[in-house]
Amino acid sequence: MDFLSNHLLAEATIEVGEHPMQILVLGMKVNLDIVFASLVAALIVLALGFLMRRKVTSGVPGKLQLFWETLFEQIGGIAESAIGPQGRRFVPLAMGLFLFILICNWIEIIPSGHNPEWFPAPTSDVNLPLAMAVVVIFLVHYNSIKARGTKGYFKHYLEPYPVMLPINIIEEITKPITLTFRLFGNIFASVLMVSVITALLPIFLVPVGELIWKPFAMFIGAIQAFIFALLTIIYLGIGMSTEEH
Amino acid sequence: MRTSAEIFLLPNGTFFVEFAVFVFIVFALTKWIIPPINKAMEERQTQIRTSLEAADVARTQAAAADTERRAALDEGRRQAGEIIAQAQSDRSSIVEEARREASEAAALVTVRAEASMNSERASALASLRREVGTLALTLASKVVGESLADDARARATVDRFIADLEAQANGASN
Repeated sequence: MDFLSNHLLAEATIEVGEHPMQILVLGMKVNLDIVFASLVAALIVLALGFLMRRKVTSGVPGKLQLFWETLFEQIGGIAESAIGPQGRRFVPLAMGLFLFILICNWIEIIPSGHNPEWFPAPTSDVNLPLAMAVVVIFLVHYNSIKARGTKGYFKHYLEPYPVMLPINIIEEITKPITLTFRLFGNIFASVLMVSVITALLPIFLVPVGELIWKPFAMFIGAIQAFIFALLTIIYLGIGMSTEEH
Repeated sequence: MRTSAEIFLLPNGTFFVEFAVFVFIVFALTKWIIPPINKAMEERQTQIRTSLEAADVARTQAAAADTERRAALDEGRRQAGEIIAQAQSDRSSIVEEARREASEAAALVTVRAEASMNSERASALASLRREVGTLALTLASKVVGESLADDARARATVDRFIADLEAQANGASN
């Protein structure tokens, strides 16, 4: 049994939410592995952007430019249909969300052979989804006040009936929380699944389990990135709509 | 360890770093990456619109040129037909004219020839008549032995004789 648990079973315990490198800055813990992985993901996004920018042409676009243009066109179309013509302003935000979350979700696919992974998905840590949700919700409320005026913004909480005020307030509070935990929960579960596969399967079956799981995890990662960007656009659209209900 | 596992759902200092990273990404996209894409796509749309308009103009011009060509061709055909018809009518009138002139010339020649023939015949006849008269008188003088040359009566007799001869000759030939 000792041989089995030491050699054939990869790990005996599943550790959750552990960060191998943490430092204290101004009395707050900073998860260095998450910071490192998100910086790598940010570098990838920016590198893709600046590589495209160097060769950008109004003639026949290259593959990279075509990728950016397609994304721009698709997200622009969604933004325009949800928010209106002024929705084009939010395309960089939505594109940034989609691409950055996508790369963050996919970065954990790279197996470092270490436990914990050298490149954990930064989205599997609550801090990054929360940071993005805070930015999004701040922009939603800011643009809502800009579009409706302060009076219109507060009046909206009393619609359709004043009795709905508590529900409307709760809805606005839950928006950033659901936005955060939808992404975090999905990717965290995906990472946890890898740990479960590693821990529970015999070691010679671990690669098979990962081969099956990781494409699915990539699929989930893409879906979650899209959902986050889409919900951002929808929240902005709802917040900026001036139609009477 | 257990405490950290219990509170891993709560954010910590990492939040501020991630916040800064995300804000920077959105800033970079807004400032440096999206505008060139937008510009390139707008330029391409303008180019496509311009070339479509140019193609439209070219098509209209081609259609106009084709119509003009057809018109010129039709006009050319019509003129060619007129020229051929004119030439045919000219030809027949020229031939007609030539034929008329030729027949007129032929008639003139015939008339002149007949006239000269008649006059020559008349003069030949007159001279023959004189000769025959003189010969007859000479012969008769020799027979009678005196000159009858100045005798008007003798001349009239000869003339009457010749006229009778002519009448006989005419009667024999008829």
